[in-house]
Amino acid sequence: MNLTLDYLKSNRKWLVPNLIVWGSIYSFDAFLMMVEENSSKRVVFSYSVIGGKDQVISFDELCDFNGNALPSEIVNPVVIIIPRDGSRCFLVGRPSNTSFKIACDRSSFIGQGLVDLLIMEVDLP
Amino acid sequence: MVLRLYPVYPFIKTMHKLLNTSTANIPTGVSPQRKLFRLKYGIYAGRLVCLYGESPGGITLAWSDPPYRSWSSNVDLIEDSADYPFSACIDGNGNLYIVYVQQTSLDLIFIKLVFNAGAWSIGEPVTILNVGSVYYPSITRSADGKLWCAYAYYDSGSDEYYVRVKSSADGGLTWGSGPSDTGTQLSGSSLDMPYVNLSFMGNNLYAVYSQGRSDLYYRKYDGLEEQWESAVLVLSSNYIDSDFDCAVSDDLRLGITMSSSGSAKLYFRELDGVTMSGLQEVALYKTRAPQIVYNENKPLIFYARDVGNSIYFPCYAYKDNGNFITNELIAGVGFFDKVFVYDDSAQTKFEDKTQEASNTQEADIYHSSSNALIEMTGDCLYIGMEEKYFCVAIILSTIGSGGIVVWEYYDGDSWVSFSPQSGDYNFDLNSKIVFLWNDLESVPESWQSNTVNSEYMFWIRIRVVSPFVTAPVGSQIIASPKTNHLALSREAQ
Repeated sequence: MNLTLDYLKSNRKWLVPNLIVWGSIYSFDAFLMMVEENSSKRVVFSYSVIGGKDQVISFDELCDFNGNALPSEIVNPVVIIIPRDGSRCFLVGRPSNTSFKIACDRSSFIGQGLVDLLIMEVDLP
Repeated sequence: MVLRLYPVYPFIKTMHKLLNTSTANIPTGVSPQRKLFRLKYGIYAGRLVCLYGESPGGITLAWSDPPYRSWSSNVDLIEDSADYPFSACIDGNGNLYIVYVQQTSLDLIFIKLVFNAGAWSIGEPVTILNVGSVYYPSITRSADGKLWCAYAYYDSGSDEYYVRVKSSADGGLTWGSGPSDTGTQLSGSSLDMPYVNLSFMGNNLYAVYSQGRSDLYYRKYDGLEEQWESAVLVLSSNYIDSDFDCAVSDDLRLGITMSSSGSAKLYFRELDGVTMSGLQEVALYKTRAPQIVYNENKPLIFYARDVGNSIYFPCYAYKDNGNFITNELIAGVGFFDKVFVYDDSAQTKFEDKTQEASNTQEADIYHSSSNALIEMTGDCLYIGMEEKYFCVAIILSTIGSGGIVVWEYYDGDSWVSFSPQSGDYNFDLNSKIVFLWNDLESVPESWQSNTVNSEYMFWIRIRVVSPFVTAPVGSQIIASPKTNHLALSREAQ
């Protein structure tokens, strides 16, 4: 898939098959009220989901469907998850140029998921 | 024309929503008190209900169902409260039990809110105590429905404070032997305000209280013997005051977290009913307003971290292999990931000031060419995070004058100027919390990441459009307001 033209157009793409996702994100729903002090006291509600197990994947750990290793750096990557089973998997945060975090919803009964990934390099700076 | 694709990622779910502004002294209460509850059972399971001081005398209620993006209109509950924080607890049916201090008289008052068909109805107030003066009450409920209320009691005769406790076995209709009964004294006397938290662990009730500002004790009420055991010292460290909290795990351990401003540390100890663990350090910096909860029998501690210049942002700590790991709680509130100063006339236009922006060192955020943060038309300050943010705290060592800046974000096509929600700021005050938008919920959808000086993130560009006569020099720039008085949601036991 790594055509020279794609390189020139900064439009590289890789299809990565059969990634097992074991990272989990949902562990605790933290609901908080707090005050933000300024000229007035702001009463704020916050909701954060915290905990879980990090599954950090570097691009150079992956191979595309032709068996070609991905580069260690992809500029402004987009990672699209293509589910292969009934699990719900998603990215945690934004991918960096070298890696990304992925996780499985806690409702996935077997605790892991199987996905393909479509990874695209969006543009060069 | 270059076609750009800007992806939307499923981020870690984080919400930050302004509910209201308040004129009360401490709207969400002090750490040992309770103000936010989550219904655990029934068709309304998952509903959150919050109680807070809306004005010096007014206590209000609001609720929200998942996904908590919209909240009910406020329900005014109480209008005769003193401007001291109240506390509450919830039962398995969603009924709320509130204790507050009445204005002028400083009597201790109880009110039950009955939950029925998705709404709370307000019961008749009951006077718990009408002698002396009462402050900072705490209330809890046993599994069999007995209510307990502990409070700071001021005796004007001796000019001293005590922690006292009373109970009600009839759902709050009568407390002790009546309103003139001052209750059971738990603490020794003190010239300083004490604070107290009540927690049930099985059949036993634990009162954890600060005394003399710097000593934290617990006393256990044995549910079988029906008597209070002697006080046990948890920690002696300068200035704990109200900065402590307690929680009980499912496997019956009482966790206590406490913040000492004197030692600038956050601590944790745990009691298994018989023995107490050693003292553990949770965070090695100054914190305030800690909250603790157990999740799968592991302690989770929330707190506001001091990063200098009275700026605090919310963090949490969890236990991993015996040690506590700390993290920022809200994506988009904390240190900036990148801060660049840009001098339009310099040979090297961008300089990285990320490290300088995070610390409190004075006068260290400037471009080496101009010796100013920003100065001439076209100069810029770029502040960036990997997540969207809504607020910027700016501390200057030299106040700017004469200049005008515009605030801009990138909408995927071009830089768009906007007026910060808190008003224009031209670096003419030495300390300013600039609310760009009301909260994270109201940050523009159109704000997109872009690349500045090879860094791809969410940027705000502050650009000089009229030059400064006196150019500002920066000391600290943080994406946070001054956070205080965290109140973690609680469920019925």
